[in-house]
Amino acid sequence: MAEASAAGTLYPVPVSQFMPKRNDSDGLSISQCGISSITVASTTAKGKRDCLAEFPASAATDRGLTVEARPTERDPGHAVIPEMNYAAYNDPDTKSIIDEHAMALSKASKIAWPIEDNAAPET
Amino acid sequence: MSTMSMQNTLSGSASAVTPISRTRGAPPNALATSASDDASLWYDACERMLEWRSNPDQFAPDDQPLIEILDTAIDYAVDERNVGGPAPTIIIPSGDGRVAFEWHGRRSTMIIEFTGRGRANYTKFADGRVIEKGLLIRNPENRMMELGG
Repeated sequence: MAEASAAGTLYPVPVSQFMPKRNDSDGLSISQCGISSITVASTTAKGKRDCLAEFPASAATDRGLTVEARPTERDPGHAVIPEMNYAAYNDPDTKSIIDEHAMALSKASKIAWPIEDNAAPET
Repeated sequence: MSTMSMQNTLSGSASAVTPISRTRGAPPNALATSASDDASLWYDACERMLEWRSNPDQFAPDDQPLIEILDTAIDYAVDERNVGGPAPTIIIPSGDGRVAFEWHGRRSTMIIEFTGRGRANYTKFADGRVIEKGLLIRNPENRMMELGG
């Protein structure tokens, strides 16, 4: 899948952005559209505005993944996909499964922010 | 922009995405339509990584690529440019100090994620399934990244 960048260039949503990182020990962090605003979801805990990808919840649940609400003070819509955690990503027995989940979520995603008419502000 | 209630959004560090491909869904070999095009794309990739190296504060601390990892990725890019390899669709800091190169095709995707000095993980997908994976290690004798581990 490819989407328009702020500059109008088409490019896919990177798979590597869906692979659990060190701070995803309890699962891949996401925000829920119906609860989180685009502004909150695209702002990191350290206050830096970041790119935001959006995918249907069914892209996760259809693969047997779960979405657990983990609201925070900053983001009431914060949630995690617990199966996609850092330990599982680093376990040779389960890494390929996590890789395939990441690929599926990437393919189901589009860039939600910034979009072409909503270029990223200076941060 | 869709904000349907049945959708989730995922925040990532894709703001640092470096799109260096220009076609939607092009297979990796389609990027090799012209050696000079790929050479230019590899050159751009090196330039961007050198800029990341000299200006790491542009990234959030969790996203800053480590210098030794950037150096490994730059070395790989230079080697691939010299041998006329197809340029990746995307290069991106992938978190935890790492850098990923992604080649996106219509049905296949390949990712090389540089994880340390002279080390990278290689994963190839076809139709969403992992069909190849391995560890790439730089051979100190010929400096090439080779499958090992």
